[in-house]
Amino acid sequence: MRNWRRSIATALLAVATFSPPAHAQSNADGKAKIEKLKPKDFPTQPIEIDVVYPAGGGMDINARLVAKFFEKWTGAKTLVNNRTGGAGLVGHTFLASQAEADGYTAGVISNLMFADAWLRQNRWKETDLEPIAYLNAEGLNLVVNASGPFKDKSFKEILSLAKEKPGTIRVAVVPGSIYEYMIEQVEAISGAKFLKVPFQGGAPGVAALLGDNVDIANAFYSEVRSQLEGHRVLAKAITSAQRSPFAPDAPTLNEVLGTTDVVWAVTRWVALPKGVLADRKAYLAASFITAVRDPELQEEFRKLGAVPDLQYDTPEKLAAYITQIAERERAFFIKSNRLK
Amino acid sequence: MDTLDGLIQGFGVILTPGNLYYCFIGSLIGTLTGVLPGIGPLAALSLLLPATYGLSPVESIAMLSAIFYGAMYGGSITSILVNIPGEAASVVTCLDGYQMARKGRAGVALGISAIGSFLAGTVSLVILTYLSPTLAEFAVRLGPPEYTVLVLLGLICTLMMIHGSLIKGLVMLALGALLAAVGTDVVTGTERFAFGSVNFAAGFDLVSVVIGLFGVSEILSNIEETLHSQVVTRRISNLWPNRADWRASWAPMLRGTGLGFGLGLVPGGSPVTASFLSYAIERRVADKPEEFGTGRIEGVAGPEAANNAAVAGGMIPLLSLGIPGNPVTALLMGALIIQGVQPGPMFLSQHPDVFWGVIASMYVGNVILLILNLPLVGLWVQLLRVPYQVLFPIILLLAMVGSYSSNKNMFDLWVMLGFGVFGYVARKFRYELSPLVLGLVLAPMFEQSLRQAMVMSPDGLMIFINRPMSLAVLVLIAAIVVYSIISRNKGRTINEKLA
Amino acid sequence: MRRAETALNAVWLVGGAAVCVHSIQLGLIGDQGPGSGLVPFAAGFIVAACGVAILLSHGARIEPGAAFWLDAEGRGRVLRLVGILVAMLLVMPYAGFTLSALVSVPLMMRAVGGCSWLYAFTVALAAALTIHLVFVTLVQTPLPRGLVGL
Repeated sequence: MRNWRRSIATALLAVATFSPPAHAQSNADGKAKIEKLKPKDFPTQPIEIDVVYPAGGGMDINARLVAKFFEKWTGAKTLVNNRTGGAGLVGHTFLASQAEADGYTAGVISNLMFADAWLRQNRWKETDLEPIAYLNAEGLNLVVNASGPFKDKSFKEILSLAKEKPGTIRVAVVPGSIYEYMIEQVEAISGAKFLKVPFQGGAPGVAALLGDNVDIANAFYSEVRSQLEGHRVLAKAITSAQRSPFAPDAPTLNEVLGTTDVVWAVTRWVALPKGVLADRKAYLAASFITAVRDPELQEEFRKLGAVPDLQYDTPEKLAAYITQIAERERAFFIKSNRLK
Repeated sequence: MDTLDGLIQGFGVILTPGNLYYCFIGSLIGTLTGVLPGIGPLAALSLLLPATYGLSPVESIAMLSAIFYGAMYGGSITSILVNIPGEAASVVTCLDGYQMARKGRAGVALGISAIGSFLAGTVSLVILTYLSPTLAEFAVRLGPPEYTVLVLLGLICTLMMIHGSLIKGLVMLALGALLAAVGTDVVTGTERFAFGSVNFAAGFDLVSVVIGLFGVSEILSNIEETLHSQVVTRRISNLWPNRADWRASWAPMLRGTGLGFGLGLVPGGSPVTASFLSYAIERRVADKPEEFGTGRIEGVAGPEAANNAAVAGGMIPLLSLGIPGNPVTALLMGALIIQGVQPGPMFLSQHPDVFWGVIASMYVGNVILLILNLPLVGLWVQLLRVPYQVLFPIILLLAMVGSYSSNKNMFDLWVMLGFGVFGYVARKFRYELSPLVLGLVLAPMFEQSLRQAMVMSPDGLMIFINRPMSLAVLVLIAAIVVYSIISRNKGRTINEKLA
Repeated sequence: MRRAETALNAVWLVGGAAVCVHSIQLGLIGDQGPGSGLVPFAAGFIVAACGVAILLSHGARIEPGAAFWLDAEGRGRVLRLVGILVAMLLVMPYAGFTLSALVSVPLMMRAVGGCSWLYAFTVALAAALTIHLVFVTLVQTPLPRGLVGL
């Protein structure tokens, strides 16, 4: 059994050494920078990268890709761990309050963390998790059944239908997360009223949509890609800031509502527990950022439907951006009476 | 492409040394996963997922899916030999399988289990090959109202599998439902019975509960008796099922296959529910139900067939519609996506070689597993010869590894130990443990579907009657209940009925 | 054991009632159907009701004269084993899995039956090493790592 582990390592090594020279050039300074920042005797054991959702899911795939490229650029070993439970609460709590801040534990988290930080417990705050590297962001696709009653309607028309006949159009939502918050905000702004049917994730909602048990489902691209390509569902709107290249005809929420700040995307980044030594933190930050800059990884992200963004290339810029997102969500929670 | 052509192409893909090798490795690991208590298919798949990145899509999925159904083969081994389930879907095999072992028929039980698994696996694969799209379409039509009544049917069936006191069984079922309620309410997102603890807010992990409830408590019970009595009861008389065994087993295997396949097909269904319900049904249709729990072979043949068939059933929504029905198929979906293959309506047209290769690999895997499991029966039975003094610490250690591996949380180990003590005490007071597991698994499904259905429904409870499939199941439930009451009332005193 | 069983049924009754009360607080009927508390309320009610029913039913109760423990030795073995397991779990976050196993397994084996320390340590060493090699080194399963990193 040891042979295949070795052959996998060899394969990965081969992939690493065969990167096209031009790209290696633009990131070569990245590698040098990492080497310079490497603290003495760190790391001596694998770096644990925690994912707060189950294996095989969207966040997990993103994390494993990042881990793979991190290993490629630093030569350090990683170990991806799924610390699941409580829809992310257990994993976030571990990272924020229980993990050792010694640089050996990092987490791939998202803005879904804010709800856990503010609404669900008092032990830790969102500032206990320090962001170091931006990964990507993706919005929810609002999809309808391609053979259903809404197949020819635009999202704007659907909204006005929901306003005329409130509570008749069934939408699949995941309670307590951005699926629900997003629909609530849309309703508040447009005056539409949907019937929100609760599900445990995006995929069960898509299943229900296919069986005509709901009229609109919300899903990330990877959850709905095959149904889109197979023309079983049609995307009517996207909740991110820009339109998605995979559904270019679907307007953003801002376009439909005429607003500028209705954005409900999942933004992913790498975070460390607060208090890691400055040199280790700098090393890890540089390593992850360099890994993310790898064009191959960016291409992988894009194939998954996630949009990478290179402008947040220092922890400080990233922290500022995340604070922006946090403020927006906090405002929504206060307005919807979830937070004082 | 014609189905048979596709399948032949698939065999062409799988029957290459590389792909075959990974199929074999997966089968081997799957069997071991099943044998090792606490480490179930989900844990094994999560651990091995990274190892598949360097492999081709077919190699990767062949290995991973082989681990999934391999675990259904292997899980019965420890259930039969030491009354400790290898994973949740093998719990019911403990009930009669272990009793068969105590009577010296361990080999027979193991044999029937392997053969039943093979037959179920292969038959359900044939159905998958030809009817996958149709069945997938049917499965998605089932909405929350249908799920609600189906789970209700399952709960009623649970009551049918209770050997001893019905009231005590009911307590355990209700306790299971309460334990499932500890955590976060999926519908509203609020915490229930969490009392401020993050760990409680996450709920109890099924694997830890099962391995504690059945495994640790079994060890505690055995420790209490003197160790010598263990060796005496572990005689091994015959290793192969006789004609009477075959005659008794073929029908349960068929029923188990059908039931398991149907349950795996429905999103949310899994090998666990399939095995429990198969046991309940076998007990219901058998001539002497009171003998269940003393070593009836039907109680092994049916559930073992059911849990294997459920694996194939679970693949259908994944392969045809790209919808994973349970955490394991969700993981397989992730593995496919990482490989750049998107399961769903376009799977067959975009990657026919992978599609058919995966299906062919499952046929081949079942054969490999039959070969792995049958001749090794004699070897596994030797496990009984290991002194219990050595065996039980190893089982405990492995159980800890398994429990910890899902969430990396010490809390799960405490859950395991706690339920071990609870199970031990429950046995003393003659409470059956299986209903608790069923309550734990079925109650949240029932609750979620019920509440979803009520939200969807414009006219309240009428939705269950307005939808034809839901109505049909309700009628079936009513018929079963009426029949049960009538047959129980025939010449039984009230005390006998309730006791 | 009869008294113990009566106590157990009292636990069912009281516990079930407590759950019912808490469930009412959670809300039995929400704005769109069953609330958070409905199913727990039903379950709690069933537990409490069955607790009473068992007390009243002659056939469901344990036969008189039955004892909880088989014998004093058996009781000793079980209590010792549980104690060792509790201690093992308490120590594990600090000592790590492998070390805890190395210490606990001989204790378990000795607590349960007559075998020499040498035998017990040998088994413990073999088991702990194999598990460490297979799961930690080969498959890289995360296991509790103590201060020593084992």
